[in-house]
Amino acid sequence: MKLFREAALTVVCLVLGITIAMQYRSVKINNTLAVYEQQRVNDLITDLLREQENNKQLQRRIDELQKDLENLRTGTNSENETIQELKKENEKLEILAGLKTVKGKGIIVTLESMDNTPIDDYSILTVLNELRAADVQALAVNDERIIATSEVRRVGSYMVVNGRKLLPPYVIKAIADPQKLENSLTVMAGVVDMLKYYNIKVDIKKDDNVIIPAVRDDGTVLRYDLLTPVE
Amino acid sequence: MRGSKGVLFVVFLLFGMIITMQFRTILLAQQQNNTGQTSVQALASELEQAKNEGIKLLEELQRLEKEKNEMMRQISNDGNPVINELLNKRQELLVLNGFTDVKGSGVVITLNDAPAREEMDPSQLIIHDMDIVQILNVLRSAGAQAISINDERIITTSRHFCVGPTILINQKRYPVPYVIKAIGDPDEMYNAIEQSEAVIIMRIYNIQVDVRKESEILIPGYKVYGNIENMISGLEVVEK
Repeated sequence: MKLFREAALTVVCLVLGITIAMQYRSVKINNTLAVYEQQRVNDLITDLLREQENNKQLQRRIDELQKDLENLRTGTNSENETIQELKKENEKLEILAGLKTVKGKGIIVTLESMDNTPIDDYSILTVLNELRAADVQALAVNDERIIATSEVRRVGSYMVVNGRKLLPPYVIKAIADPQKLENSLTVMAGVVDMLKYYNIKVDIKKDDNVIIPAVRDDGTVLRYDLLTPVE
Repeated sequence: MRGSKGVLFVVFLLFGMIITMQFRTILLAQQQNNTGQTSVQALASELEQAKNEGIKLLEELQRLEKEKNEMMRQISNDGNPVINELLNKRQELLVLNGFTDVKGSGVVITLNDAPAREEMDPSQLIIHDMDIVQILNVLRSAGAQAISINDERIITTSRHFCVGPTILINQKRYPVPYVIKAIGDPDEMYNAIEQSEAVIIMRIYNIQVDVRKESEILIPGYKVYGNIENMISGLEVVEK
């Protein structure tokens, strides 16, 4: 009888111990799962919003094209109108390609080394990438227009952009929403903080009349002789 | 004898309470899991739907653009010299802006994260946005005329962002491997990439960098998601 009771007690305690351990584990797992789930939901929401915005823009562009096609098909456009329309479209494409000097609201960022070390191309590339992330529409370094094929390369104590030598201090001009541009650089642990660490003085000025010159059109910057268009 | 009964009483009391608690957490967890599961699943399927819709819209857009180009060509066949000239200019500007598919010789660079190793900080084993920015810069210095990452054409304002283990290019998210294509002088670009500091450092960290010269590379045009007006809305032309 005594033996039986002791055995029973042992079994009960054993089961109790195992249950406590299981309970503890399941609570822990549930917590990590909850965190993971939340992250996944956040990712999905941002992706979804982005896709929906893309689709909206695609639809807008499709509507625009359909209108163009309608005009072309019905021949409502006289030759003169067609010429005017083409001219307008070409001008837009020229602005986008950087072939026009432009002005607009934006910021002017000046980078200056506080010691004798020359500023590295990495620092300028970081600034340019952050500005692009803030939906920049036109960019220049020391008035050299930055286009899709522009390089920023340090050679000794100066910088080469579009094959042209630039001397410090480096003045980066950007046109887009000034507040958004500034925020992209001054976020905590962002570019400005990083540059300070490298002993580079960063001056950011908002300006309603930033002027960015056109790209040099002498055939050395805008090159496409090696590209064959595909239909 | 009495003491052992007391102990038993306490033990069973605890036992009962714990079983109830366990049961409750399981119930609760299941409920949570259910709601979490459905919202994740619903979002995922909604995202899938949005993506499919995007693909359809893009196809429609490309079809319309082709049709417009065709009609424009017909107009130019009619032989108005002014229109012909404007159309040629338009074609040139489309190429310059990276809106057309192009082909030519060049290099293809494939980047992949380093295999996981325990003794290293995982952030050193993955490719960062600035690695990509530096590689693009080397290619541009070596005279690249057209560049794409995972077939997303890089244009003037393209940004490339590191978002954890994926990259965001032209508003599209891509996982590794990253395939960078560039059209230009293959030898010049190959040598520049192989000797670049960025690539040498990436290789020290075991990030896989594969560079190949190729005689025919196809680089797709930028897919104009928005209209051009949106891309130049803040720019006012200054006449000189």
